[in-house]
Order: sequence, then structure tokens, then C-alpha cells
Amino acid sequence: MSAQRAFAGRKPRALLQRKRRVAETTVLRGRTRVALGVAGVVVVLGAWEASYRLGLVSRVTGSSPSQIGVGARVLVQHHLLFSAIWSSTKLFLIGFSLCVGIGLVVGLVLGWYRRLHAVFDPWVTMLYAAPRLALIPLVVVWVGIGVEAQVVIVVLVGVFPMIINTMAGVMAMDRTHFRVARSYLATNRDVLLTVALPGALPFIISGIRQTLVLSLTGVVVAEYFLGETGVGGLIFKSGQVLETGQAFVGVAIFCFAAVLLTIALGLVEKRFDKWRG
Amino acid sequence: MARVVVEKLGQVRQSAAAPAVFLAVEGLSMTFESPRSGGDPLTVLDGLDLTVAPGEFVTIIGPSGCGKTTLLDCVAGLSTPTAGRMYLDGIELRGPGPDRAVVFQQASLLPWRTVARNVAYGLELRRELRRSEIAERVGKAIELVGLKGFEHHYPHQISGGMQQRVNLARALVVEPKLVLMDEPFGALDALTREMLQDELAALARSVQRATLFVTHDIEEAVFLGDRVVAMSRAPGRIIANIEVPFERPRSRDVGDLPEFKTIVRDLRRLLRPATADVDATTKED
Repeated sequence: MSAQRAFAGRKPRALLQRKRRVAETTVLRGRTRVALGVAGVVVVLGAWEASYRLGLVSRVTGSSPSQIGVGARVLVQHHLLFSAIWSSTKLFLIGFSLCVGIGLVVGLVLGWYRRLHAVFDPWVTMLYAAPRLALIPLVVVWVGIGVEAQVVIVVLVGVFPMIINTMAGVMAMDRTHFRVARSYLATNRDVLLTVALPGALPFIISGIRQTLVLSLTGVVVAEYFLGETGVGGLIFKSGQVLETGQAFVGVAIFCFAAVLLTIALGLVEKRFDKWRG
Repeated sequence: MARVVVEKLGQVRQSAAAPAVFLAVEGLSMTFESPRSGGDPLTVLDGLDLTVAPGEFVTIIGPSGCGKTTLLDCVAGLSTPTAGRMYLDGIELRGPGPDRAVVFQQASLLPWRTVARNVAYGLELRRELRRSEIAERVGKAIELVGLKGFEHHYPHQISGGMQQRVNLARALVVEPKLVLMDEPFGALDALTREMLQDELAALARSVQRATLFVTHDIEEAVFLGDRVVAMSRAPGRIIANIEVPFERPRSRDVGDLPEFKTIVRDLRRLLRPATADVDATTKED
């Protein structure tokens, strides 16, 4: 009855009357995948270079892969590039470490102590959702425009995913594991160290991944707005004087750094994959 | 390990021989508040009495929701009963203790620990033994449950049956006075379940440790138990206490004995009425 009604509006059609393409999955071999990825990069860069040479892109404001190469050479000759990279690396390492450290501790505490969680969760949610870059002028007022202020901004931008993921991981503790621990007379500390923390590890790693990317963004923002230092400052200054090629050198460095760091994290992650089914 | 354990338990048996009651549960009641405010509280256990003799293997059977797992939780100290007292070897039980170990319904292994480290978990938490002693006892327990060669596997790398063996070894390795087993074979396929039942029966004979074994499988209860305790629907009360007369070691063939079949049939009749009612009502509709 109901089946009849469901089809009442349509014309009945034999299932095999028209050829039907049944869903299939595409399986790629690893080598094919890499080759396609490389080809994609090469084609895009080639098209870019070609359109620059053909004059499709403005010679003043535009750039091309070869122009970026020229820009890099100029920067190296003026001893600007490596000092900038070093300055950015330092800022990133300090800021990222602080993000991970603070995020771990705060996330752990807020995930473990339910009352503290109840008190601070609204604040974490609020600050996470808020456009925190709006605080930059206040940071300048409070901390100045030195390295300290830059670090503050990196932490401000990058710390929240770490806090939230760690917190969620600790709170997601498996109830049956807790019962096992209790049945063997585990203390609170035992439960934290042998059940909650190892169980939170996948969450923590995903927090580190997000914090990594955001810390990098934080570095760029801090360098743009405070003191125009490092690779970020380089991009900013080059852009202002229409040295687009040099600006792109900075962008390329950040892209490269992001890829490198993600790969490094992937290697760390693999170590924990042993017990993940 | 088995021999040492038998000797140790032999002493326990002698010392406890006078009262012949090892575990005593008196007037155990459990009422859960309704999760919704204003809802009716749910009484799962109502004044339950139960005793277990030294070295006795008692199986508890009852319809699902009759409170058998709650009973086990209370004895394990994982839940606090609303009323009633429990004594183990004359000492009142409050909360979890080193004298009891639970074999959980789900294997509940820590996925980041290898088989050996999972078995060692209880011993590690006790902080009584040195590393080398723990390793030695863990090795023997793993051998006892037939997992030699799998010490360094992670839980996801072994089958459900093997995970339950680890669960069992983790409880036995702490040498508890009382083993509490909560439907440990319920989630396994029939063949694996039979195999583990056989092994547990053999183990029960060699180890002779007082055991409370909860199940909803009547054959399993009769095959494994020295005594079968049947519980009614919630609020759970004990409606039958059946001594199982078969000698140990028991083989699968016990199941073909007429006496075995009689006990199973009696238990089934005892536990059935409620289901029969449900059948009758569905037919009327």
C-alpha cells in the first residue's frame, strides 16, 4: 500500500531498461598517486611561468616562478634571507612549544577536574570562537612590539586547538577502562597516567597538528604587525615596494615549512599507530 | 603457577573450613534513582542473600535485567549497594579490594598495552612486586591461558576469544581469593565459547578458586558451576539453588547425561514463565 503510494507520482520503469552505472571506487597505486601530484605542481607552475612570459600577468604587480628564483638570489646576496628564516624559526619554535606546553597542561587540568571545566569551559569556548587578532592592539599596549609581543600573538592564535583537543581527549576516557583500573585499586593519579592520558593521545596529536598550522599563521601575523621581522616581515616589506618576486620567496618558504612540519608530525604519529587498529 | 596456587588455596580452605562460608552476601538491595527527576526509582536487587563456600564455583543465571551484573558489581566494590552487607572470609567488603578480581564482560583491554602489559596491569597498580617478579608471574599466567607467543601483540591484533583469555589472565595473575566473572564469553562465537568453557572448567579444577560466574546461558551455567543460582526478574531474588553433582574434570560429554539435561530443563522452566507470558500476549494481538 505505502509502496504503491511512494511510486504513484513516477512512471514505472523497468530497472534494466536503461543502462545504469553502478558506483565503483577508484584505486590508485602509490607511484601513480605521487606522479599525478608532481604533475599537478609542474603543470600549474608551468602555466604560471608561461602566462607571465606571454604578458597575461602584470610585470609590475605579478610574478612568476623564475622571478621568484631571481628574488631569492637577490635576497641571499644581500644577506637578508637566512637571517629572516632564522628569526622566524626562532619565533615559531618558541611560540609553538609554548602553545603545546600550555595547551597540554590547561587541557589536562580542565579535562580532569570537572568543576574547573564547568567554570572555565565558557571562557575557552568564547575565546576560541572570538576573532583573537582583534586583541593585537591591546597586546601592543601591554607587551610592546618586541619579540615577547610576537610570542604572545603566536600563542594567542595557536593555543586553543591544543587546549580543546587535550581536554576532549581526557574527558573521553573509556568508562570500561576506568572500571578495570578501579577494580585493581587504581588511584586518581594511576587512572590519569595509565588510562586517561594514553587514551587522549590521538586527540592530543590532532591538537598538535592544528596548533602547528595555526602557530605558523601566528608567526606571519606577528611579523606583519609587530616590527616587520623575519620571513613575514620580508613578505610585507617586499610587497610594499612591489618586489613581488621577493615577497613570493617568503610565501614559498612558509609553504615549504608547513609541508615539512606536517611530514615530521606524520612520522611521530606513526610511532603511536602500533596500537591503533 | 597452578601448583603453587593449589597449595595456597588449600591453606585458605583449611582455615575457612570451620564456617564453610567464604563469601556471604546478606540482604543486598540496590535501587537506582531514575535519571529523570520525578521518575520512579528502579529497584534491581531486593534483599538478596547468597553464600559461596571456599573454592566453590557458583554460576548465577537469570533473565537479562535481573540484576546479576549489579550483584557482581557490588561484590567487586565497583557499585555501592543501597542496603546490605557482604563478607569475604569474615571481613566486611567495602569498595574494591586486592582479594577480588573481575573478568569483565567486554575484554576491556587497554589498547596501547601489549598482551603482556595488559596482564601485568593489576600487578603494576599494586606496586607490591618487583619488575622481574611481575614479569615472571605474567609469563606463567599467559602460558596458563594458552597465549604463549602472543605476549607482544596489541589487543587489536588478536581475536575476540584471545582478548577474553587476556582478560582472564589479568584477573588470575593477581591471585585473588575470589574471581568475579561477568558473562565473559557472552560476546564470543559458539565454537570459541565452548573452547573457553572447556578450558575454564579445567582451570577451575586445577586452581579451585572461589568464583562467581554470571551468565544468561543455562547450559554454560550448569557445565561450569558446582552450584547454579537462579535469579528472578527484577527486583532480583534467588529463586533456586541447584547443586551440580558431576565430578571434575568435566568433559563436553557431561552435556549428554540425562541428569545434566534434567537440570537444564528444570532451570529453563523456572526461568521461562515471563517469556511465555510475552508470547501469549503477542499471539492475542
